[in-house]
Amino acid sequence: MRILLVEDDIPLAQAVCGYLRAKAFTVDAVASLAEARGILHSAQYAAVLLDLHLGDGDGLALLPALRALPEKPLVVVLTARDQVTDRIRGLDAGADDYLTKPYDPGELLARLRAIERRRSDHQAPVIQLGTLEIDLSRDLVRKDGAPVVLTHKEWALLRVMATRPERIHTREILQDALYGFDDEADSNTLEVFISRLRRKLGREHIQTLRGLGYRLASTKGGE
Amino acid sequence: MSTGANRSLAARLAQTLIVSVGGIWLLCLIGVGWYVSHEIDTNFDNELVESAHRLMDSAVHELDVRSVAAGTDSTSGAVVAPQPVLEHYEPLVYQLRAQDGRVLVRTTAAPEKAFEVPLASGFNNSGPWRIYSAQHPSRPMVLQLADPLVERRQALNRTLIGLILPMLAVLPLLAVLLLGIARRELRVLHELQSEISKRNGRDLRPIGVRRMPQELQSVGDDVNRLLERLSNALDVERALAANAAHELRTPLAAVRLRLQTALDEGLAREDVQAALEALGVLSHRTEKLLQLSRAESAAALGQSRVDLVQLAATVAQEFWQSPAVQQRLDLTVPETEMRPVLGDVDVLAIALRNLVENALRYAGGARVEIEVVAPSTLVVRDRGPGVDAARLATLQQRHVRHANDQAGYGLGLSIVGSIVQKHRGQLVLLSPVPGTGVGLEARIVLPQPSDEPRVN
Repeated sequence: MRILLVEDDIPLAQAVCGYLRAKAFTVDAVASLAEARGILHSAQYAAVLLDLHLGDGDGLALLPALRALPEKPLVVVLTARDQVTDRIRGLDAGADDYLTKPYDPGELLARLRAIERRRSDHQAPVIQLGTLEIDLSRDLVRKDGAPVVLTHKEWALLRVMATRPERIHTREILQDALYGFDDEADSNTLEVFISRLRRKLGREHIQTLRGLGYRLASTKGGE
Repeated sequence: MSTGANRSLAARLAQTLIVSVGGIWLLCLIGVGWYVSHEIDTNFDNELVESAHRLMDSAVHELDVRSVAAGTDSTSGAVVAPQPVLEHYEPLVYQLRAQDGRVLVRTTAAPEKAFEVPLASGFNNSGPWRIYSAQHPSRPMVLQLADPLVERRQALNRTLIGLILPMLAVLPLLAVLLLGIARRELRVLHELQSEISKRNGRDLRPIGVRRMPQELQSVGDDVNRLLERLSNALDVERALAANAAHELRTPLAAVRLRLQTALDEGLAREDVQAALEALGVLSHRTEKLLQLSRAESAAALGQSRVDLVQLAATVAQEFWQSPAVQQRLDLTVPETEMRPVLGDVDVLAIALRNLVENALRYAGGARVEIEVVAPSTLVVRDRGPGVDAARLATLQQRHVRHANDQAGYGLGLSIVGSIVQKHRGQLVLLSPVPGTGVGLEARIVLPQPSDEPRVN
């Protein structure tokens, strides 16, 4: 998996490159927006680690160019830990994930492995939520040890949520997951499928956060 | 005396008072002058009327005597009456005039030419004269008695000078007196000033305000509050300086020692591992110190509209990155739309993050919940062992740490305290959590958003 690191702190960039190369990733490091634009098309990157405060501008300015690539790389924004504003800005601008500086190498690795998994879909993990077990690689859900039967659409929803259990998933993202199935996906459909999922998995496992979206929860009740 | 607003308060006060006193005195003088001149006029006029009627007979008599002596009615040239010497030391001025205007009799001091005033009874001014015309009761004659106006003016001037001179003499005395009084009364300001100037980093005792006048007491109270805040800030700074030196040096020394050993003796896994752990501690402590300094300087940061739900969601998702925490941390947001509060989103996030970190750390593996409560409260509660009442009281004080606080988590609450204070909010700690009998609940109660029109 090839990774582009956009970071203007050279010692840090070197350390990250050294670490990731040791973990068998291919890493290209650039120190500015201009360099990043120049190198974007030279290889197919699976992920871009993007520092926001670069010498020649805001890292987010690179996002449109990244989205225009034929194989859209996943963008991980690197921000200072106390800059919540940067993080919200990054996610709003379409970044896929973020890491806070100084990042724990283990965390960086976990994030990249997750990207790798999402791309290959092979080693998808088993998500454990209380008595609920979601096996993403084998499309299996068990509740109290007994298999639960889900329709394709229910799976599509659950897959989105289970792939990123740390996230609150907006209605738009979940509706996108339903989109592409033959019948019309009007806005009520999402609630219908969420409530079906709740009935099958236990209503406490899908939490509604008004104004934000839905998330998988281990025990705490939803509505 | 220097110019402008920098002059001494006493001088300004004295000057203002003198100018005001002088002004009022001048107004009085104008009033008195008007009244006196009116009185003088009245008196002189009364006298004039009285004299005119008294003189009437003697003037007519004079005319009759002279006419008989001349044999004919005089047609040209007036009779000049002799100057009576009995009543007035000043020359008497009158003309006895016929109805056609001719001067029949006049005194030596009176002009030969008729006064240019009407013949009707009453007062008239003409040139330097005040003239009273009196009709003879039976004959067609008018006696016009004149009085020089200059006399009245002199009388008025004498009175005014009598009033002005003493005042002019008294004003400088008054100025000196007022300046002295102002200086003496304002000495308390000097005392306050010298008290304040005595305060420094070592001496931040409150200033005694009991004996001060009311106005200064409130100033003194404000200064005392400022001193208290300053004292707190200095305490934090000193504690930081003392702690930071120790807290940062220890892990740094450990890292260097371990890495040096690894270099010298070949890479031993446990050395590198220990160095990494020491760096982890260092990272965390540095982070806390940065947070504390941000929290302390939060007042200087701009206030913007903060969506507490979005803030809580962002912080929660940050913690959910760790799968272990995903199982322990819940987020609850209100069912209804919330108005944004005013604040600094980054700094408020630091506060919330610290509460969650503390809860996750001290709750002994129990569940932790972030709840956003309308209109403007962030709650972090855990179902851990909680703390007892005595401990709860000390927790809110700065730099009191839980036992075995290795990485400076105890700084967390003082950071939260600072941030909440800077946002004019309240940090409330409750243990056990009401209604459960276990755990600890921390509430950040921010000021309610103002009642501007709601925008959905």
